[in-house]
Amino acid sequence: MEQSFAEKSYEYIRDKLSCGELPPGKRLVNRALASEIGVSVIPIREAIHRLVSEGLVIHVPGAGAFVRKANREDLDNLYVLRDALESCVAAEASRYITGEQLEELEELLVRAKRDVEEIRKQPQGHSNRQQLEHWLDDERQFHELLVEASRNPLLAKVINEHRAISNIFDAQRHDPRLLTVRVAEETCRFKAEFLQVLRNRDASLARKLMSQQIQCGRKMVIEYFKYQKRNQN
Amino acid sequence: MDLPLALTTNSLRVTSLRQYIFNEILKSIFTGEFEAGTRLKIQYLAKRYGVSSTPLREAIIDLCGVGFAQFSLNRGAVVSAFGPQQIRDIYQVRRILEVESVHCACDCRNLKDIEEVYTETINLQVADRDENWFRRCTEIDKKTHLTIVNAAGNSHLKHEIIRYERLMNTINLIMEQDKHYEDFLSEHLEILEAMIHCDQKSAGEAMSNHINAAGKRTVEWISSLVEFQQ
Repeated sequence: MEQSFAEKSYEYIRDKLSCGELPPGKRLVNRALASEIGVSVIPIREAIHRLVSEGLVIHVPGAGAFVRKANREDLDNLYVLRDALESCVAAEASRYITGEQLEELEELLVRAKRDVEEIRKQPQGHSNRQQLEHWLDDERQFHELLVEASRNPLLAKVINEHRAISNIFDAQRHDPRLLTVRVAEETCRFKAEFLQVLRNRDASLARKLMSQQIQCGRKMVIEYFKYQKRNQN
Repeated sequence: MDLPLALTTNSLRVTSLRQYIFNEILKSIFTGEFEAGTRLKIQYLAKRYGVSSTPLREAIIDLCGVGFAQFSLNRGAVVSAFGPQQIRDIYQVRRILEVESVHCACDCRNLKDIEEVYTETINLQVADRDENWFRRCTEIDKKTHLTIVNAAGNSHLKHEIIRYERLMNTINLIMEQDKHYEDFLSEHLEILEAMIHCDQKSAGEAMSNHINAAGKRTVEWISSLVEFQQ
């Protein structure tokens, strides 16, 4: 019984983290969470312990648990790690990917291209909320498929955890105005090129392309970070 | 069941209750007592090891962190499949992390700590092979990898690398890595030397070779263990 309460608490807090309702820097109050979820503090403590292990929450001795807050250096570090892990996944995936998995990626690419056309129809030249959510969903699927194709479940676990940390930071960045026609087109171009590399089973090119893509993402996040700083000042 | 000597000895030096339980559960997974799908029930295990639930929960989270168990809905933590392939997976992840760690550390301007570990390693190579020598070898192993990731200065990377420290500690101790110590010392020296010369590429390659070699040694050991069970 107790286990399932811990699981329930974990899922609940994690959802709140990834949708941004518990923003970075926010303190997690055991008792408040317990009454919100309707459990005792013991499963809450266990859930938080797991979130600390995954890097989503940090424990400050004497002060409590806080949603991980990123400064620029922290974000940079996160991207260094993601680059190392995900480029390696790209190389492994190019070795092991099955025909079926390739087809699924292909279908996601077709959908992404369709999305670009939909976004193009928007008067402001960027996506609306619904389009953004659809887009992000497909992006997630594309990466999950790749990770699965690398055939190392542990690698998948580590990457998914870091994507989850990125998501917390990204939650505030989920602004439909940021998904412009140009951004969407560039992503499609990357996906098309990447798929071709996978089909050719070219591991070193797969690694290189993925690394470039992650560095692009990093640049965008850092720019957004600077932009926000400027607006705050 | 008769166990290989290494798994029956109680000679493991235990630094904390959390590490002790981590070791014990891992040994039961290695010997096949806890097969894939076994539920790690808190109450049962707390009684078995005579500990409270807190270090037990911590140890289980640590085991999940390195892939030996996973949380499943309504069933708590469940033991994952285990065999040579899983060991290969672990070393693949470790290789990516450690190579990145070396790459980042090569950008570090202050080489004092790296030079210190280098000197210590050379001293160990020429020291008498007494009982202390083995203990010092495991210590320098840990210290070397930690010094490198500290020089890398990436907290996310460090968080990931430290997950495996507990596991490597257990593996080193129960695997009787003694006969491999000569190998790993010279592998470490190669990495450190390249780092001191700021040769990022060679340092990365040396680290990659080192983790691959360590992985191979562990896979051989695990395979003999699996054969032993059959």
